Amino acid sequence: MYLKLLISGLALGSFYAIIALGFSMIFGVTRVFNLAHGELLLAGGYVAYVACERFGLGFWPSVPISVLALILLGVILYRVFRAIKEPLELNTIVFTFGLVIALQNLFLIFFSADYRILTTPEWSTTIEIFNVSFTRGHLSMFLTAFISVSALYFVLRHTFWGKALRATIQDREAVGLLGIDVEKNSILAFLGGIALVGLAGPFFASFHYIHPTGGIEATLIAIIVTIVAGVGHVRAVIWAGWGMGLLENLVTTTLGAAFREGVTSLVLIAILLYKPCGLADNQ
Amino acid sequence: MNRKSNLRLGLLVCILIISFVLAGCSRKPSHEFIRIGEIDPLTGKLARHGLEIHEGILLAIEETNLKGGIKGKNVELVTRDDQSLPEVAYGLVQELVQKEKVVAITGGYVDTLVAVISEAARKSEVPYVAAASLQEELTKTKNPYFFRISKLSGFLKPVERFLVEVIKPRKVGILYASTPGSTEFATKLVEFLKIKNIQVPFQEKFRTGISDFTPLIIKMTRYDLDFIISGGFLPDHLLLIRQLKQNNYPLKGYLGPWGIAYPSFVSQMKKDAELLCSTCAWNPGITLPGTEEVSREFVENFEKRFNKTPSTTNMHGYTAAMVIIDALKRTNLDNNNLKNDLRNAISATDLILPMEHVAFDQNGDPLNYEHVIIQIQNGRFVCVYPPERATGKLVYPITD
Repeated sequence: MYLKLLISGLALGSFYAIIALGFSMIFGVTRVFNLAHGELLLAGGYVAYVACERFGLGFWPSVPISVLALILLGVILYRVFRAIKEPLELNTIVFTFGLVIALQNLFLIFFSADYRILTTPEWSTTIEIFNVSFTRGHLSMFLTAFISVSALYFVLRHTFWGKALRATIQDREAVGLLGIDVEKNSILAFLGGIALVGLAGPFFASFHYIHPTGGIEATLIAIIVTIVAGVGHVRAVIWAGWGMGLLENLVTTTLGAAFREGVTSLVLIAILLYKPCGLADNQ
Repeated sequence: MNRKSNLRLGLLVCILIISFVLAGCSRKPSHEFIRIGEIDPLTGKLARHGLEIHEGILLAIEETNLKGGIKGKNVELVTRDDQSLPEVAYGLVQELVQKEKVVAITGGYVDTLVAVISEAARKSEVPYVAAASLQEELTKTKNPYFFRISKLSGFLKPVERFLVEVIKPRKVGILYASTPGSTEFATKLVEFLKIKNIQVPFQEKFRTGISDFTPLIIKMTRYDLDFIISGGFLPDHLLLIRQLKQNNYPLKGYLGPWGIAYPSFVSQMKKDAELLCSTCAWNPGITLPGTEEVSREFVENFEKRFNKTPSTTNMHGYTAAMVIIDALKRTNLDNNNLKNDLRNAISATDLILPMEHVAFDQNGDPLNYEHVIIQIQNGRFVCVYPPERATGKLVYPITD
């Protein structure tokens, strides 16, 4: 039983990590506090839903379509965000709050208030690895998160662009003085973050369900995981995501589902009291 | 700022105030119309159900106006969106009564919203007929202006009888949402099952909208449950059923009193919806005996107006609005104390509609609201209990 709990906790945590990574990258580099993060996730989910249910494509072909659609949307959004004046953090909160309402209404117009779920019957089948059975769904989620986070980690740690991006998160002005193109970094980080949201969207529509106002919770998860991990710390984001997924599962099994959010919130508050700048803080 | 500027500013403020007052006067309702207010969650978490109730109400009003209105006067619906937030709902009652001069209010979905609307209606002394409300506490407060067309026992009693008479389980698992109605439903059902010596080894409360049921499913596998009752709503069922299948849970029987008997649930779940049970007060094809013709007419009109099949929630909205329309027909519309007369007329309601024979007790609770048990068979809702209304045979257990 505990092994099953571990697997489902890691799958859930992987999902949390993917959505938080997008938020963390965008906020870290561009300073855009994107309250519409969950709505963008829903947009990805709706794109995948249309691709699967209306055009008969399978789940996996719908993933790159969702990623591409979100990148296109990201290009438009980035141009709009660039027009926002200082104080950027505060103004983007106000702007993205408006974006939340606009997107929710667009979803309502195009998809009605109905709950939608992506049908993936093949995900119920189980696979045995080393005498442990996984459902295809859990395994897909876990592997997707693991591969995307590993790839991102490699890029950020071992490429010039990645190092420049990390430096931009730490100090934009200093990086600019060193001759690094902060603007280019910002665009790439923004679109990279949006692409991650596009990747998570189809999984959200398949593991969860989508409806016009269903993005708020995803935004909250992204913000919580980012704060607990520390902005821009890729490894810490995945640890925080896994930690949260496992903790939620453990609390639900031992104390009951009614205690899930309460206990998780207490633990997160305790972490922030002990490490105010997040898990990755070395001070 | 000099004296002249102050004078100009004062003049500007005066003009603005006068403009607002005049604008308010021009919005005064025409005597050609009877205005009925509606408060529903049209956006926010409960938007889906709120919009369904709204469609039902709208159809009732439009049908009435097409037939010549009430005593020659057309009915005007003034709709307000409470955004699924109780604090918003409260203020809307005052606006509808004082500014829009409505004679009655209808709509409302879930008790957290209905409770505040009913309290505000009491203060404003305007009759309120709630379209969807369950909690027993709400009618115990003896609010003379509050009426509702649904109640908890309408769900609970048929489920209790169905379990004892048909399923005869040894062990039942109960999951329920942390809403007042669902919690009350689960508490009363557990008490009843204990009296009947049916074990309930698994009981779990969850927040509606929870993202993962897997830990609960893993926990459930410890017990060899004969039947699962889930007091969640449509999205909770979507997720729970999906995850039960993904975890290969050996499901013998499943009943969700809310959220399953909907065409949209079947269209989203496809084969996974097969053989699940639910309750419903009405559905196309499941109607109160003797109301088949009215029911068919409602379905036809609804499909023509909204281009989709009506659901039980649409019918709740329609029924609540029809109660007010029927009472208005029995009220002297020129009376100075119209709202009070209308309240008295509503309390004397005796109206047979497809969903129920509407009549109220002294607390405003419906006397005859009772669901039937349905099972999804080949994508259709088949009534399986009570025997006198059954249109098909129950398939139980599912795993056989």
